[in-house]
Amino acid sequence: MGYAIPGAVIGLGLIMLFTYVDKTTSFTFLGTFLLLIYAYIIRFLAVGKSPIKSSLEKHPKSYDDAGKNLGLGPLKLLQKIHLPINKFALVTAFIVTFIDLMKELPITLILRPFNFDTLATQTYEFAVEEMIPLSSIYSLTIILIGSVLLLILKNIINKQINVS
Amino acid sequence: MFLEVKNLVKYYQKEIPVIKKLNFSVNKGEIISFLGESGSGKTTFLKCISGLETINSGSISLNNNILNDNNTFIKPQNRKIGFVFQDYPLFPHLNLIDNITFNLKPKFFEKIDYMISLTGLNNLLKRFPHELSGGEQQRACIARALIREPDLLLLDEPFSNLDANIKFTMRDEIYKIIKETQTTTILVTHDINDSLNIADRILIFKAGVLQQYGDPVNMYCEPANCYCAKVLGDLNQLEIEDKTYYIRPEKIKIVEDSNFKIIVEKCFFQGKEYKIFGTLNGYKWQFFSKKPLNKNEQISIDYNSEDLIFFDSFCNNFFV
Repeated sequence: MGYAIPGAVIGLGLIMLFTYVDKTTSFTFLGTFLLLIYAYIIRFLAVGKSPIKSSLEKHPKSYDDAGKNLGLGPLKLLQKIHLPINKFALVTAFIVTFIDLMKELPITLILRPFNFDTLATQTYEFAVEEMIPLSSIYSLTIILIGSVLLLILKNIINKQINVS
Repeated sequence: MFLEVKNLVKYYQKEIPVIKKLNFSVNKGEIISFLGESGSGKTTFLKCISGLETINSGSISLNNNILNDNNTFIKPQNRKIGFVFQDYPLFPHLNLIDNITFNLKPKFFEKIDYMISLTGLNNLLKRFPHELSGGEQQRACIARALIREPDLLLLDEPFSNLDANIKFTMRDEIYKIIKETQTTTILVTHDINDSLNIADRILIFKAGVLQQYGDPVNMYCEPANCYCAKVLGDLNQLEIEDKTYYIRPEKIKIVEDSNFKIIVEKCFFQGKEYKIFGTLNGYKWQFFSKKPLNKNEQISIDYNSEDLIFFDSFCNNFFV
């Protein structure tokens, strides 16, 4: 659901909600990383969740049963079976979400703490001031990092195809 | 008794118990076959024994230690029970040798060479599960279970995914391994031939209730009820003095002349013998012949009266 809502709507919605929360409680959430991360989760949860969910669905429940039968407790089961067999999905989820987060602008602009900048906000701010060469350094950095990550992702997908 | 199950009850919804007051025991080194239709609760039973499911009442004890009753529940990782699952869950990120030695205690490492040669996996140790055939995966699962020297081995339909040729080879191999290691085993299957071939005793299970438990020959010749009779093999029905009797096809003899005349309807070659289908007094019959018979040929058959099986009248409708 969060993925379908524009970032600006999520940002403004959270400002309205947490203005009320901050007023009625002794906590301060507005302008904190906590609120920014919360907004990112709402916006990008679906992006990260999908590859992990499909990877988990691919593996039968009998892996859990076999693991328990071979002497593993719940934590060891996670460490020795689930993390290794889902590592491609975890890395894929991380890369896809990271690329999306790196480019994200509206939520960051609305909810970021003071003196906190991202590559996207710097690109935007310099572009608005018509300082295009400076803006392009940040935008090219986004493209460069994104491209490297996509190459890694392609490698991972190729490895997965070879394994299956 | 080595394994003792007393009044075991298991349900997911209270109104519909999967297992109702199951009682039985197994001696050390015995192979027990658990026979029943799909959905009759066989796998649930194995999961209860192995601790992957808790029981609702009753008790399970192994080697005089209570595994599960109203007050005790030993976690699956602390029970010495090997489980070979139906779908061979070898971990895909580990090669075959790592799968077999997965979480293995150091004291069992000295048995690796023996177990690998016993299961014939010597040349496959570095292969990953997706590079192995179904039979090889199954042998790996058996080796993984047996190397831990379990007190009890549970085999859940281990041959169901194999084609006929591999199945017979595997069945013989597993039997050899189990007998060589003297491991007490429960084999769950819906194939009567698997049970008759390797089990010391058969347990027939229907709708959560134990129907009969005994050695294969006795059960085949003296089934406790209609269901057991039907599960254990084909039957022919006949009426004598207003009573309904049943007889196994292999007990029928083809003779020169008798009061029982059958018109041959079908004749199938089955390698060693021919299987003959015909009708006697309105009932479909089947039996075996050494020679092929022609369709519509009339033949005489006979039987020994001690081979007749009789059930109460409530059983009559079961076979219709």
